Amino acid sequence: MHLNMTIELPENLHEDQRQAAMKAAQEAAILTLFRDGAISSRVAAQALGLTYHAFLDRLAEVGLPVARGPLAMRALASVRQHVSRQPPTRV
Amino acid sequence: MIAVLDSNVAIGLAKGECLEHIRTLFLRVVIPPAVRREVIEEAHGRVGGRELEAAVGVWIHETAPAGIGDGAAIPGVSTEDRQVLALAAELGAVVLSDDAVLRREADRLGISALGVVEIVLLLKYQGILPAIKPILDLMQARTYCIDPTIYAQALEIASERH
Repeated sequence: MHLNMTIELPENLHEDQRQAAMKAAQEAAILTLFRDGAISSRVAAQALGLTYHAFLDRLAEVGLPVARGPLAMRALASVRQHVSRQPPTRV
Repeated sequence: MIAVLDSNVAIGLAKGECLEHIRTLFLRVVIPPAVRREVIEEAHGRVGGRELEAAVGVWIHETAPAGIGDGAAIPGVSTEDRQVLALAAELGAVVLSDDAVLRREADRLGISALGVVEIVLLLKYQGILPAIKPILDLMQARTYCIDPTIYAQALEIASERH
């Protein structure tokens, strides 16, 4: 996936400051797309160059939930019905 | 019933120390190769890697889907996401995932999807867990973030105190 964006930054910044701002802007854009349900967690992780574990850790750092609503009550009821009819599985 | 386990739920349940419990719910639990790579090979010591590795080949089975269809029609979805969905479609399975985009696609394809919160509720319904709050709190303490609204909703459904 390729995302291209242009941002205007003040002049006379050090290169490391410019790079940090660009990186923060890129992350903000990708996390916004993830938060809004436009891209999956995998697509977001890949776009940020993170492993899946590292992406989940990053979500926790910025306070974005992995598990979010609404609860799938219809699916839960359906699976519960199936599970109740199955013979018990021993651990 | 067969379940296709996605990476986020595998990691979330391992963080809640209840991954093993899902074997009591489903006749068969499968993962596509992408989930093995993401959770086990890229773990670098993080919670979930060792737990899934211990289960694969014992009660979780790695299976590649026969095909993943034309992904170009699904914006915001990766090849690995398509593996999860394709496997569930081929096996007539439920998808265990917290990914909102993947769940939306599953719903569109007529595939049931459950996340960690629904799974722990199911484990309580089945008498496998006495309470869901300690599990959800443990997941969150180990950086598996749960939306406060569904956390509260789940506790209410489970008749547990916030």
